[in-house]
Amino acid sequence: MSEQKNPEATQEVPKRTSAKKWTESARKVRGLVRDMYVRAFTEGKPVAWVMFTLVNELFVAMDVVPVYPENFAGLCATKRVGNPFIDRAEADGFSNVSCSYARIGLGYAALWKDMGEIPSFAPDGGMAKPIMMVGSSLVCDTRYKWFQTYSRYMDVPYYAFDMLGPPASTAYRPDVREQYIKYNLAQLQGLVSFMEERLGKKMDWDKLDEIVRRGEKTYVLWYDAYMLAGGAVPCPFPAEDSFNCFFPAFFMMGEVEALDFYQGLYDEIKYKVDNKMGSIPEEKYRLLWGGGLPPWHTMQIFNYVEEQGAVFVFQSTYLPLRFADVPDRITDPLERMVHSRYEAAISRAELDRKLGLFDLCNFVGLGNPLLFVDEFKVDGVVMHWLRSCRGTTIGQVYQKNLLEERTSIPTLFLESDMCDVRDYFEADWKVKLSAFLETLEARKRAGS
Amino acid sequence: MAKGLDWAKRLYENRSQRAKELREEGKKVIGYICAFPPRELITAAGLVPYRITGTLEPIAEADAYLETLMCPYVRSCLDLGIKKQYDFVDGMIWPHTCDNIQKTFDIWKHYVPHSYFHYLDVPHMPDPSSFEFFAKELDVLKGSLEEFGGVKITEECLKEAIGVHNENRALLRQLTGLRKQAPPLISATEMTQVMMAAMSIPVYESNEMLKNIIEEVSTRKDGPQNKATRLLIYGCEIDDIAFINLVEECGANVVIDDLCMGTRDYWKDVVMEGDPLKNLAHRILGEIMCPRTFRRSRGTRQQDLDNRFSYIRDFAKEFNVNGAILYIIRYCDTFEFDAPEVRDYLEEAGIRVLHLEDDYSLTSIQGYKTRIQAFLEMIE
Amino acid sequence: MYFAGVDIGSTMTKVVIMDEVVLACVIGPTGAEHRRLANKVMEEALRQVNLPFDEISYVVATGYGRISVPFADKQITEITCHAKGVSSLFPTVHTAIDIGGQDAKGIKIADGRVVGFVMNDKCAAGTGRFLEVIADDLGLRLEEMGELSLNSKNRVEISSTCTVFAAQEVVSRIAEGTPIEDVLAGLHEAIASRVFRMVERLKIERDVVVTGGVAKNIGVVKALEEHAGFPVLVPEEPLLTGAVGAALLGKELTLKALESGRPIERGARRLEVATFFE
Repeated sequence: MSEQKNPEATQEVPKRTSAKKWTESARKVRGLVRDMYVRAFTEGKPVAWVMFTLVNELFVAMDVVPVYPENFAGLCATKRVGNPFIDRAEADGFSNVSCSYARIGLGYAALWKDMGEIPSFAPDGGMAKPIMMVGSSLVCDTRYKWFQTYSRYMDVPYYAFDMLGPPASTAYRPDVREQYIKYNLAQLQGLVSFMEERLGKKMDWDKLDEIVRRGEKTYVLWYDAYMLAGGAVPCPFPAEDSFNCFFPAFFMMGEVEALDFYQGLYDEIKYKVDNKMGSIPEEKYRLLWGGGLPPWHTMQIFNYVEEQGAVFVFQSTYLPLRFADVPDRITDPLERMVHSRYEAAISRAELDRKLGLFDLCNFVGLGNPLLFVDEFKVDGVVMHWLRSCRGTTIGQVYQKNLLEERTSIPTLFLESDMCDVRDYFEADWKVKLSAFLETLEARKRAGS
Repeated sequence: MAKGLDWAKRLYENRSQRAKELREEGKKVIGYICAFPPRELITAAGLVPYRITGTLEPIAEADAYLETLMCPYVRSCLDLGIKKQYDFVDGMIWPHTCDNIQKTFDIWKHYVPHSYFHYLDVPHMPDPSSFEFFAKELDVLKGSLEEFGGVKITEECLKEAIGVHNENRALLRQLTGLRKQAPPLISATEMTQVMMAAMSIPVYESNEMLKNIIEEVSTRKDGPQNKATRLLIYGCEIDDIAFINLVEECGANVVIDDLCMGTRDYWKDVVMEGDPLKNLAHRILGEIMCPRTFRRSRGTRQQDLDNRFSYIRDFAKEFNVNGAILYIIRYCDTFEFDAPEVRDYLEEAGIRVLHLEDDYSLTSIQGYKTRIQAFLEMIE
Repeated sequence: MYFAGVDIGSTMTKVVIMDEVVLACVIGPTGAEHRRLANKVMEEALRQVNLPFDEISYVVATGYGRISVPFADKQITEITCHAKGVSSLFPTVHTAIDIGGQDAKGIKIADGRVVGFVMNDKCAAGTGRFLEVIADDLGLRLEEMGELSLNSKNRVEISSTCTVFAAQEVVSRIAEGTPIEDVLAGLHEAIASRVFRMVERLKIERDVVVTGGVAKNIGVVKALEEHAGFPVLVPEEPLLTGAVGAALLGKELTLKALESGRPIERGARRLEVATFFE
């Protein structure tokens, strides 16, 4: 590959595809995203391409700039410039049902190789060349397979690791806990060794400890802010904002900026909740985005329902994890990381038990709508089937079935893709959404 | 009673027959999906292992429980489950092999109740810690089967079960060896029937059947005709003869496969010496060549590719094929990602490749006729 | 010696009779009813050259309906036949793009032989069927769509790749008052882009020849050229390449057999109605 160019912001596409932002915090995110890509070019630090796996702290501690291709893919989709990358990957034989994040990510590297330079239409100057790639089995299979294939286009060492979770219903058992924590810890240690070897330096454990503990505080603020917002009437922080504001938690965890961001978010939401400041004038219907990644190519669709008096008060796709306090006796920062993630699964299982869902949702429905519909006073649930994402699509019908068994709240399925705009048909979405709101209206009238 | 290939064909056409008979006799049947669950442990517990499969018939019931945008094979299996076709199965072992299977665990458990249900986690990595974790998983499974079967699985009886299953695999390899010559002594269509039959009956009976078939096939005069092209088929779950039969009808001998219900399932044995659970873990995680298991390589791209795919190239050489068909079931993510790499790897080795992506239904399979014929015309 | 090629496509039956050159070519009517009557098309071609059927040394059938042609000696797929036919017309061809009524295919050719191909027949989008659906919705004749679209100043973007959705999109654009030529241009671009992306998997190399019914639509051809970045070639009669290739392959087989002194392997052919439903 040729010399990297200086980052330059590409032009916005004329048609507005992103949603209006309702909170100050959400408006800050775009800058943070741009910073991630620009820093990778300008800071002169080693760059890693990383799959989101709850280990950002390690990169912060090692002074590496992590760049997240899945975020880049979403960014391309929002700017509607993803499809040339998708086409390029498909021309190499990758299936049009393979993850569109991966197709964009692979197409980006392929076009870079073809053209000898970063394609000029890559948003935010594109992704800088990495010295290593890190993927994992957390969430879905694509997350360890995709990066393995980059060697077609670029010669960068790749490390994959496991992050397994037991069936939610067995997570509380001490033997199961020991087995999983031991394994996940060993896997993280493997990752650290790989990073050390790649970077030619040792991990600074004290520094990592500080970063991990900062991360723990950040997770709590993230969780508290989101939950506070979800329950508030009127809703000050609709789903399109929360689809933005997960960015620092996923991609900047451990950084001071991330902690500050969630402190700011929490304060802003608290203020708006205390003063009953909603985002839309009259909140007729409260909706839940109950599953599936958002349509990054057309986030503006959220404003479409708002024009009709409906607001998505919560999205359960990027669900903040409620990390239980890690006991002080655990001093090793890696162990603290593994423990806190594991405990999150347990707290989830406890919640399931309360809701009568115990042992029903071991692997699907991390953000099961039943967890939120009562608490957040939800009138209707919308879920999104994605052509190229098994991880967040499988189980949606099951969750709808469970919801119907226990409540009378209706569900709407929409169908497209997180990035591939060719799978999206706006007129169809608008008809379905409007019809759904009419159904909710009819139910209200019948009920009152 | 039917013998040899006829025995296999009858079982293929009525797969559950023997398992149902055994159940009448008081045996318990354990179903499992995918090649990963250890049949050896099921046998050692005195239970009957039974491979869960789908059907090419249109999916009717599963739409109410699973999304259409996912693996049609898993959907089809669930469809049969919902239709009560697996009511004779007393218990299920559900492995974490891929997203499609893992995420269907809750749904199967909820809508197709069996008296026993066990989730088997399978790491994706091949590290020492992964093997240790997986051996522990197998130990947990062992305990759970002991409880369900009301027996104690001693090391001795587990080793015996491993021996019998090794014999089963060896017989399947021996039969596969008879496909090396031209014409092959057994067609791929017959081989598929044999494979399906072998996974529907207790291993002792399976061994008897295979010996019988090898005897019959070794001396046969009415075997497959010699055709212009010898092919390898690579892919995931093919549990029906329709596709392979179509390829053979188009004018090729399919002489070797790399399929979940083919060599991938029986090519490697479990080592007999040493700790049986560790050995089982080693075979399943280390030696079943499924793209769902990550293969670590710190070398060059070429070394990485050799590490992952050279065995396919070796199959092609050993069985003297002149072309390969990649039959990939749509939405099978790990295979979808590997397919372009496998295609290029084989082409590089001088083996022409036809890459098909299918949605696992009879109508779609029939639509491939022109492509397969054109491919054969191209490589002849 | 005379050779015949019969290409039974999903909507058209094409027959070519040749010796050293093409002597007759007939394009038969379309539709399920007529498809069975391939023998009539053959008879028409024989009438043109005034030959009895027995004078034809070898008949090769190709196309979607090739299997059940009772008067053919051999069946060869349309992929192999197109490659042969196209390279006889354009020896410099390396990539052929055929867009027919029900399918679209790309063929990579080296020295007149197929070295790779891709095919789409599962989805109407990116085939002639797609244009037919839209022409029907708009009350246009198929033939006028291409020229009309060339007047476009401001092509609309048809993003959906599904025929049903795209048709709705077209209708709603027209209802919004978008000039029809802009909508048609968008449509042609949508087809071209879909087909081009598929064929791109073969790594497109010049020269590129476009055949099949849709090759008659200048709008789609121009859009394909835009994607390729260079001009593409279109045969004078883009429907006939398959039948020409079939006749040529029959000739090759016959000559090869004669050369080696082997008897020519022929089918038990009868010039009668084809049976498509066994």
